[in-house]
Amino acid sequence: MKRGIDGVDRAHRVRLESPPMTSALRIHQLAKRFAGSDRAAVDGLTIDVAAGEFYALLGPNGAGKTTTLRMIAGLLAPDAGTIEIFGIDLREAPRDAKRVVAYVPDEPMLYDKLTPIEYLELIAALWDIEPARARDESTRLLELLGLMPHAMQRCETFSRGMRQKLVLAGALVRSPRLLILDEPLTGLDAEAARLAKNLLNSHVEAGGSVILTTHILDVAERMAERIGVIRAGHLIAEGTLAELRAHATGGSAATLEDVFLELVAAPATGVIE
Amino acid sequence: MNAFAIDPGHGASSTPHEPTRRPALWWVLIRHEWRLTIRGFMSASRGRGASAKPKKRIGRKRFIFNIVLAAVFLHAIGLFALVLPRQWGDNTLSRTIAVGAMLLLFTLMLSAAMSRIVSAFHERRDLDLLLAAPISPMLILAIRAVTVVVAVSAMFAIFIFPIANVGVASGHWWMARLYPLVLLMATTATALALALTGALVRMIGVRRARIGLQIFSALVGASFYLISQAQNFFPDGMRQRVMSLFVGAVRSDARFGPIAFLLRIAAGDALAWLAFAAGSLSLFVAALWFTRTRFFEVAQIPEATGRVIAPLRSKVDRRIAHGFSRSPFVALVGKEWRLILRAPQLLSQILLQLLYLLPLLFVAFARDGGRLSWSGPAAAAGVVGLAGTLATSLAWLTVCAEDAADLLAGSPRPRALILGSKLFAATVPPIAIVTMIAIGTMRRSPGDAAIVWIFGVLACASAAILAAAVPGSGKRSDFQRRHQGRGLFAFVEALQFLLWSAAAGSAVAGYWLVAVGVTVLAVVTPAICLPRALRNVNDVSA
Repeated sequence: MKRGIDGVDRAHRVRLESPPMTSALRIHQLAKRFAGSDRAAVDGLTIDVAAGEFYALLGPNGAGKTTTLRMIAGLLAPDAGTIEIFGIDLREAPRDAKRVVAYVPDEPMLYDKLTPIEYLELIAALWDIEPARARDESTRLLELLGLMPHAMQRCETFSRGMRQKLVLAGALVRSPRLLILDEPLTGLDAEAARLAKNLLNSHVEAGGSVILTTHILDVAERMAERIGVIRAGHLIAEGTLAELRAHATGGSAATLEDVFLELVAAPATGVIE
Repeated sequence: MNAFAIDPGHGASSTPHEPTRRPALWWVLIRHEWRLTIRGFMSASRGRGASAKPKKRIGRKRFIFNIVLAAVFLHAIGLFALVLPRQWGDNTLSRTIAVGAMLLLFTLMLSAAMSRIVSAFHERRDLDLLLAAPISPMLILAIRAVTVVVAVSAMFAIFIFPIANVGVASGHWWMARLYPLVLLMATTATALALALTGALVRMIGVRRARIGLQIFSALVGASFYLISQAQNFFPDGMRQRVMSLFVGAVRSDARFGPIAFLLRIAAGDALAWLAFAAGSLSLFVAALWFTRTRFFEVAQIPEATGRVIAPLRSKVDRRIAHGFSRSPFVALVGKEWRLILRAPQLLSQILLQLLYLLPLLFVAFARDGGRLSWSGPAAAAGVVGLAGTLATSLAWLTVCAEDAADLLAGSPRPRALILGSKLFAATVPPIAIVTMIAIGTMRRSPGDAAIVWIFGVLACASAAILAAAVPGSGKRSDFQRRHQGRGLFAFVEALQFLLWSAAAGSAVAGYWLVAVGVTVLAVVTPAICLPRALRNVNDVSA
């Protein structure tokens, strides 16, 4: 029996339908300014993420990463620009777009008084997942993430790592075509972090797309196929690690950390590709 | 030396400055306690919910002006002291009032002390920091407990001292007893609250003790009121016996016993005061001693470390096999009810709100020849008010205090479905109560039952419309402060239920014209809010 790196039978994994178009996400000239702020949180951001791609969005604190992700998840309306998810315009058909997206914020969206099973039940009902499939996927994810012994325990007693794992289970139970994660590894111990990374890789292998923000540059370096760096709401660099290295003073010996620090420290000169 | 190197022991203070005098440790702790206590008071008075707008920091002059203004206002109210007798009148009326007032003051102080202890010891979450510092844990506990005494005293002194000030200034010397009375009662109440906390923590653990204390403190606060009202339910003979026992004890010239002690305190008996002071201080020290070890062991245990017994796998499998409905409505309503039922603290706060409405029901079900009877208008008004209040509270919890708003907003379900499910979850319990009461009175008075049911449902519907129109946002823990920061809206909401209650009462009383008039007034606000509510419900971008 062929097993994936997460140790789960591949035959039982829900296959994600390959989209007919090549773009999982296409955002164009996206802009957002919050009331009372003197500068835009996101300013003319344009990103194209291919279907089945693992994309890391990096940037210093306050660069506009979370704002961008929240706009993609349909939680925040942009002031200008367009967002297309698998060809669905988020503004035109928000519900259709939300159906294929799962967003995992940095602060877990959980109910302290619900148990993991009740939480997954709610998500399955909200995303209209067929009950039999929801049961199977919930069982698989709870087992995989080590949450089964706590399946009937209220989340109020959970550590941050356990909460983060449950939120990840909540995102994956929907089998989203586009998975957006904001700092997903925060609070996870080494074993759980490895498990989460494997799950994300498996998701991409199964045809899903992942967009992730992280301050752990090592994660982006190892996992992402392409990396975008934003600063003050602008995209300042984008490409594969090799492409980004080519612009760094250290050349091919430079780590992503070297490249990143050099990029965010350099004066704005347009997008490096 | 490397620019980034740290030279231990030669940091900022190593420069050749004059040696600075370090403040005493106890003074640092007192300052810390007071800063946090005062800021706690300020944030409570401003409202901490997300709906509360941040206010501008006021300047020192403005702050002093506000204090002086408040003092003048409170002393103006304190002029009431002038109508009291100049000498302590040792008669039955004075004795009864004194004993009643002291008992009331003590129950309120005990409730306040318990609530402050929960906040200072279990919610502030700074004990880890303090206990990790090289400070005696006993000093931390003592200073924190003394701060609770001072805070509780201050809460009541604000209202009592202006009366005492006016009284003393106008020659009512006996009122000077109010100053030490407040302080000693606060000390006794804090000591009892500390001992209770320690005992509860020992018996049922930190988490349950915290919830238990919150519920108990609310019940203690309302106990005097509830006992005073509950006597309406006693059989006539029993009520008279209780009253005669109380009056007998108040009139008695006995030297010993709880009521005799309170009377001696009221009369200014020096020996009684000495015993009071010595007793309350000893009790306080004993409570500190009793609490100290156990308290520091468990005060900061995180909730996650509670004992967890993993359920049997077959049980989990069964649960999963029977779960996962496809209906988002069922899932959302179930979620809301679970969240309400699993928060005993919230439930107790909601029930307490309803308890305060009981007098209306006591009047309504007034005794009629030895049997409880339905006395129309007041009962109708009471039940409708109760339903409306409950619906408003639940609607705030379901609509405004959503824990994972982004999860719901990010789902592909229409907002109308989500909001509708939440409002359904909020209005069904009060409508069920109204329905049960209506069924209960159907045989006796079908007309009244129908009126109560219709107006009860209307009150719930109007609560739902208002919640949908002005959803706001907040945390469940802000439930008691939910009106703060909502200004006029909170007033309109309260007025709304008064109008529905009045309309129901008038209809049952047979004043149909008044009922129609009040109903028209009651409909105005929901009618104005309805378009906005519908707009919110249909807002696809939200």
